[in-house]
Amino acid sequence: MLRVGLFIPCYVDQLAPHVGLATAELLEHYGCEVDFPTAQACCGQPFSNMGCPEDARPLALRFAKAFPADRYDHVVAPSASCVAMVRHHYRGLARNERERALLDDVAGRTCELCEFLVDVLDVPTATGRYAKRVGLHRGCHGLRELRLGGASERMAPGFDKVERLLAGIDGVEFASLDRPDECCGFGGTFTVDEPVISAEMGRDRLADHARNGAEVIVSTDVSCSLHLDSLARASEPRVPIVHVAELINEARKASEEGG
Amino acid sequence: MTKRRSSRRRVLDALRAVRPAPTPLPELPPAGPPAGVAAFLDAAERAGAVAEVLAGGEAGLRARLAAYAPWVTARRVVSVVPGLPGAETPGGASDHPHTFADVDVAVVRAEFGVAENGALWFGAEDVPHRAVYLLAQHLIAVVPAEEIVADLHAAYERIGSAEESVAAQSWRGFIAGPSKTADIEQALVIGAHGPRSLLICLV
Amino acid sequence: MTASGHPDRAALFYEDPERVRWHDQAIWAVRQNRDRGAAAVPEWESLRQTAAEIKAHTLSRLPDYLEEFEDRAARLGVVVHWASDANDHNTIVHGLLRDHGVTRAVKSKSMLSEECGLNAFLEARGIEVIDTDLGERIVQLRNEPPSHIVMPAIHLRREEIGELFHREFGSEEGLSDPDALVEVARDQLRRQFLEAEAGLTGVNFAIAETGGLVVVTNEGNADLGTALPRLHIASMGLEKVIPRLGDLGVFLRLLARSATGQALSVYTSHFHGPAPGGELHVVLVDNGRSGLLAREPMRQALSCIRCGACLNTCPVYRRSGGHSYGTPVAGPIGAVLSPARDIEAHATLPKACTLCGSCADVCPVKIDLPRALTVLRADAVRAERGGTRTRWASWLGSQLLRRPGWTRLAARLGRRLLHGVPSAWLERDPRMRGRVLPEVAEKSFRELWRERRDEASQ
Repeated sequence: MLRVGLFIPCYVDQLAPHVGLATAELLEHYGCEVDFPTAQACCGQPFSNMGCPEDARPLALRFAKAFPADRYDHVVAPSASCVAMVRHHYRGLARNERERALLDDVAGRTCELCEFLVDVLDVPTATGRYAKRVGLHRGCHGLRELRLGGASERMAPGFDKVERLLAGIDGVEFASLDRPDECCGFGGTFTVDEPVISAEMGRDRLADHARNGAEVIVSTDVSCSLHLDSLARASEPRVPIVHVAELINEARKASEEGG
Repeated sequence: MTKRRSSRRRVLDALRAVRPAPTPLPELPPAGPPAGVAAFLDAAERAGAVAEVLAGGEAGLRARLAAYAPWVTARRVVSVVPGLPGAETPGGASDHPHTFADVDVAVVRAEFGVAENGALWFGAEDVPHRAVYLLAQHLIAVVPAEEIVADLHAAYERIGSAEESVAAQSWRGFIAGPSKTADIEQALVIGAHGPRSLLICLV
Repeated sequence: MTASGHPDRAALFYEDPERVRWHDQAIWAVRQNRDRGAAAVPEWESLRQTAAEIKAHTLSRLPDYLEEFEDRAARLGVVVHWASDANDHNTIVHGLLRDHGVTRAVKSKSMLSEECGLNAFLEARGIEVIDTDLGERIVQLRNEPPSHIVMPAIHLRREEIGELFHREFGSEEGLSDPDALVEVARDQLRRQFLEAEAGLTGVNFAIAETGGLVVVTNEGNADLGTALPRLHIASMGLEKVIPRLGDLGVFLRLLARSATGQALSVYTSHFHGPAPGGELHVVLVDNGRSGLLAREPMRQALSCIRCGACLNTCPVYRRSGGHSYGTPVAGPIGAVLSPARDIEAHATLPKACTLCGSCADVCPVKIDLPRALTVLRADAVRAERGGTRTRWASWLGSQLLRRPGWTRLAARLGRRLLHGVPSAWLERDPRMRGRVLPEVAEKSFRELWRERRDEASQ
């Protein structure tokens, strides 16, 4: 049984804890032993983005220490942006060989939820019933840093791990978006530095989904979802936004109940 | 040390003070598989040219032109292809490009075409002045149908290995279609500053 | 440079939301054209890799290639000048024009000349410069900078251009059909070409192995501008040199497709030595490039071939317009090049970005723009005057978030505070317009996990 350490980003902890629970539930369903080490803290991404990598470093080291290799085979997070930070940007924070080894080790074991299911657990697709037209929100960190899918601007064969996971669910249809992977405009510090453009970008995403008949928007990143939701709640009609773990769990329960 | 030489020294010194780690120069990609005339015609049309294979070769040119509106309505025509009715066939190089400002149609020869983009490769040896390529309101280019290369890799292999090197001429160039612009609201307009049309005849 | 930065200038753009929407759609369409152009080349991604490697190699041996270029060009009769900065460049160009008795010159697109402020320099010394690229001519007449490196007037509607031509050229009032407008410009500019005493161009590529210069246009304006006058002055950034003639195959296959989706630009002219009876001068310009060379990841930004693809794909550029950057080159590459030279003057630019990464994916020479922008954000923090507001906030935040106990406390306090603040208050902050703050959950994940674990153990 794989020992998985759950990494729950600070904003999920405070603003969307149900996503954390859904993630744990999903991993347990697929046979993992899930633990949540309480020593964990922020992954440090906001500080790196703000231009203060020296403040991200202690958080990176804390992350590595919270998920030792002898306790956790893998670290899984319902957040592509945090995982991208760990996998691609931790290395540059190291000040010496020892730190680099520590950070490289944890980076090598850290996955976003969907890529963990597809690449490590070899789940061909999720099962269950969910009869809705789904708008897939392809968050930028997941798409372009973790390569969860093929970005529309790249000339590479199309594949999408999230779509693959959802495609096997009975009743799921995918909305065909006008701009399948344009950024939602959250960008962490960006939404504070450039609020007007940030809001416009988010509204454009929502309009794209609505225009193309999405009945629900599914996302791998709570940061994107919270941003879109804060705009959606200020306007009508409002398309609900869910995390992929919630959707998969709901689909499974629907078919279990339905028999 | 003059100002000119001191700037040179200063710039080169600043560049040499940086020692980036050396990285290898990659091999050039090989030319793609040979593409046919059809591919060239297709690409040329997409670039806004009218491109066709002339039956009867250059002899067929006269007949083709008789049915080509810009030719028919032209008041002044310059041609490097001899024997076309009403056309000036310039004797040699001209030092006065401005005298070609009122040319309506110019008939020129291209050395070869490139199938992937419909471009034609020109030198300036046979035109009186390279300004003719740009000043003519309408350009007609004649190119041998068997001189179509697949892509730019093939083109530069050919240009680079030519007996007379590319550096032997002060100007050589690719022309792919008539001049155009999309600077106004992204609306494509054919005929910007150069020729308004390009007719390509493969002979 | 005023105190305002990108957010303030973007707010100006947003005063006309219709224009923002149209600007975004028009440029998105160019991005889609680029996608189609790229899709037509099966080996597109490996071609990008080859291009990136050629540039990286060249940059690792830049002075050698520049000297090789200089040597070969000089043998062909080209006069090679070196300029350490913008003023140096402008002085050289002015000197050449003055020595040849030139009072009016035509100029084809050169972002370098924009960077150096060449036009203003020459005009102040009695030399008229006519920008001949249609988009550049339009913005020149309106006395404003270009807003896009490939489509300088993309921020303008056809009606505005019609009005401009009516005012400047006496063309029909209310003319707005693009074909008709281009016809007016063609007529006007043809006269300029015929009367010009010198042609100024930029340089797309300088070939070290042959001493040649390559200039690329769709309109033919660089060719007309250099075929008619006898004096051709080409301004070139140091980074434009490439090792081999054959390298052109790689770059040219990527350039037009990345810019507009065309397989190739209409005119790709190769200049080797002056025309018979003419003169060809090339001015090699540093102006901060040696500084960029000295720093990774800025060095990579010197690979730029000025295709504009990063501008077209950038969701922020499309919604804020080129003028909001306040730099000669806008968009993601501009947000690297200008701040890398002067972080204090351009501190807001690296933050005018969500780090979405689309720019890096479309860049034909694979510049890692997000990485450069992140490094520049750190530069901006270090350079902050009064030094430390961001640093204090960051240090505090880091201390707080490092200690889960403190984080929990702060969140609980925050939760209590947020629930107490009337929403009307919050919405008064312009940043909150049209948004609702997310609700803080009753119980945090940590609390729920503990409950779940306790339940399970019972």
